[in-house]
Amino acid sequence: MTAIFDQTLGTMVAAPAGARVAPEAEAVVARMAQLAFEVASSAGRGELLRALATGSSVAFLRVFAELLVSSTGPSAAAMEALRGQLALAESVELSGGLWRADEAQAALGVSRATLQSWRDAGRVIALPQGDGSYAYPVAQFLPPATDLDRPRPDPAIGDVLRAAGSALGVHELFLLLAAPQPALATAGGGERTGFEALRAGEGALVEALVAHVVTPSDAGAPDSGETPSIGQPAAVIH
Amino acid sequence: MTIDFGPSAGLPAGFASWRSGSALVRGHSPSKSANWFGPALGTLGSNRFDPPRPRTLNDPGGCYLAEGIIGLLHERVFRGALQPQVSRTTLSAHHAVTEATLLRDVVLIDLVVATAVHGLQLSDITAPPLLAPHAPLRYPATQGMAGAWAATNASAGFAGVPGGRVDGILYVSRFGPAERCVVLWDLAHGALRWGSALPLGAHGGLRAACGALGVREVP
Repeated sequence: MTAIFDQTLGTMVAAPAGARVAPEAEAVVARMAQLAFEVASSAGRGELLRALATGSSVAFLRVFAELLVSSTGPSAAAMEALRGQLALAESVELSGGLWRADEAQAALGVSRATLQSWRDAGRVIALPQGDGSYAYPVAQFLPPATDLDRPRPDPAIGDVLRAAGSALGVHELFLLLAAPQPALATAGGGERTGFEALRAGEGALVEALVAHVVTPSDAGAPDSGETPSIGQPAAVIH
Repeated sequence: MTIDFGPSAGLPAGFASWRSGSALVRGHSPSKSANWFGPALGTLGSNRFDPPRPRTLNDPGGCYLAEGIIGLLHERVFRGALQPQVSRTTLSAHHAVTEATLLRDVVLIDLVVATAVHGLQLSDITAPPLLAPHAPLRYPATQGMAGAWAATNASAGFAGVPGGRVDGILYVSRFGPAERCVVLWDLAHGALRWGSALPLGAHGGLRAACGALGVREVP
């Protein structure tokens, strides 16, 4: 095996021959290499194999970031939050990615005001970002019918958002729609995600699934301060 | 958490006794009382053993409880859908958990050990809900069974069961068959001593339960 330090960085990076990059980019690459060395050299073999077995860059980053954070002795809460964010990023990638607001405007051919009104009216799923902006999961939009058309919002998304209400946070709703669901299986038994079922025109089924998940079964129960006393006949109790 | 089945409980096969002193957990909305045997009169229930018609004075109400927090999560939160991640904040906003202690032995129709005695298979009990919009019943098979058993309980009673009456139905979660759950009918409402409600997100067993289910738990 060739020792990694016997090679130049340039031989390990898949850059076109003769490619020129800015000094700042080179500095970032060097710093990343140093960071990668520190994390990898302190990780266990199993953790490294888990990272190498990942199938996408985002999945690799998720494992790498966990190694990075765990090597600094973080709090359990920080690890939980990080895992949640990274898993969300991976799910976003697998579902087709996100559009930033300007990308969504361009792809959908609408103004910023229109996009904002769709978001405010609950017609589209908008994921809040760390910088205060919103991003829009691509999977929620219906593909254009012809080459001359553009993607468009699925009218069923509004129904799904209404069904979810506040019982699911928007990130939780996104993850629910992006995950394969047995309840949305095709006649042949193949599991589908909520987004796939929506694209198949089965918005009512997806809405029913979400409503099933979030509907409390005790809507008719007395308020917590009104516990019925023991011994009352059933007809009075309920 | 003692449950005795059939002859070991002095009952015919197909019946069980959950013993006095056992603690169960009840999931409910934070603003609602845990002590609720629904659905409301005149309302068609959407739970697995609710009456197969809008509830009348002749139909028992049912209070659904689980043996542990995993069963509660299955039945109340996940409900058969794959939810890779839960937020403790959201859980606490929408779900509370209250412990209930059995003050006496309760006699139950057993759908855990001796299902075949009732002419049933596991798949009959664990059929998924009908999600089709406007379906009259969410669980036609089990709601039908529950209706028939409730009628028997109110009339001739169950042969071989002391007094002929049962307090409810013991079953497994549709979503995790290792998790035992029970629906107690309202004739058993005096058999429960209720504890204090706790936001589900603050429950001490949540972390372990989510870990066991492979669900990420975030703040």
